[in-house]
Amino acid sequence: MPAGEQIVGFGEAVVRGSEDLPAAREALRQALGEAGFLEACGIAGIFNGLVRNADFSGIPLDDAALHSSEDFRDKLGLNDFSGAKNSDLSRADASQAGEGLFPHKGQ
Amino acid sequence: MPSSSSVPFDYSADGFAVRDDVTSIHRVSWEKIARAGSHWTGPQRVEIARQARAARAARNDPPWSRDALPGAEGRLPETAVEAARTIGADAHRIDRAWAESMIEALGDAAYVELGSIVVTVSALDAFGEALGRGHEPLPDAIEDGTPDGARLDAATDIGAYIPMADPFPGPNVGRALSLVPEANTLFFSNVMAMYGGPSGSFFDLKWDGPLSRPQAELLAARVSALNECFY
Repeated sequence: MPAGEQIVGFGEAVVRGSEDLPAAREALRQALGEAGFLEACGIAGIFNGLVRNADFSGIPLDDAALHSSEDFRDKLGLNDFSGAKNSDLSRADASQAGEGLFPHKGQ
Repeated sequence: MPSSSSVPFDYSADGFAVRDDVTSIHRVSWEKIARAGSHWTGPQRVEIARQARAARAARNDPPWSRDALPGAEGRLPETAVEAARTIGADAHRIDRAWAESMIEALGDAAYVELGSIVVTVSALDAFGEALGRGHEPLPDAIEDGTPDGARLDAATDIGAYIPMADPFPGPNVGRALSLVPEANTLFFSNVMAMYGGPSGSFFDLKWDGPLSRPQAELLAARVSALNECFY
């Protein structure tokens, strides 16, 4: 993916508030340009809110994501996160993956 | 640090070409936080923001060593202080037992409104850190005004810690705050502006920003994973 390494490095530096954030910021600017950098700042910022929103409210995983992530959640260690207890993982059925995140859309 | 502009979130004064719609919604968010909401007064809402900001800034310290966090000095119940700090710094450790103890003490709608302030301040603070601009000073609380007590009458238990709108034409994260309409608007107006591009939409999955969708989702996924967010 173009600028993938810089994107990952930037996201990690923002979340951790680490000392390499200025360097990560500059590397991303070089890779994406100013408009891309600003867009990345928006995404990094809002996801620091979205993750807290999900965790304090205890929302379960949406069915589409539950089914489509069954084959990699455990491999990546995601099932060990505290929030995994909010979803009934035994319901996951990979054969139902692919209906999209918005099953109500169009109804 | 931001410039000493008299206008909050004066990104252009600091040399950042942040889109007008993003700047505008950040300013509106600060105005809203300063005023009475549905379940907290203006001074209480600004104190929630202050506690959340301080706790998040100390997120890399172990919880038992955060002695320097500011006290609320009677502006908030101790339970609300704990809730604001935990959501700000340790949201990934929240479990049902903790959430239910907070909800029992505060009430479900007050818990939702408190959370909406914390997540909004966390997002705007992280945005400032990402830019290299730092944190916008918190707004001065507006003393006048009484919480209106608003809540969604038809909220339903979908298995989360709090009731919410059901059915809902989108992902669960989009309805997490729906019990308190004002709280939902406070945060999701920022989501719509910051995640989706200038004319995109979080819910429609349109995408026309300078990043490709895969680039945006790579960043979102990395941020989420490092925050240990299962959802």
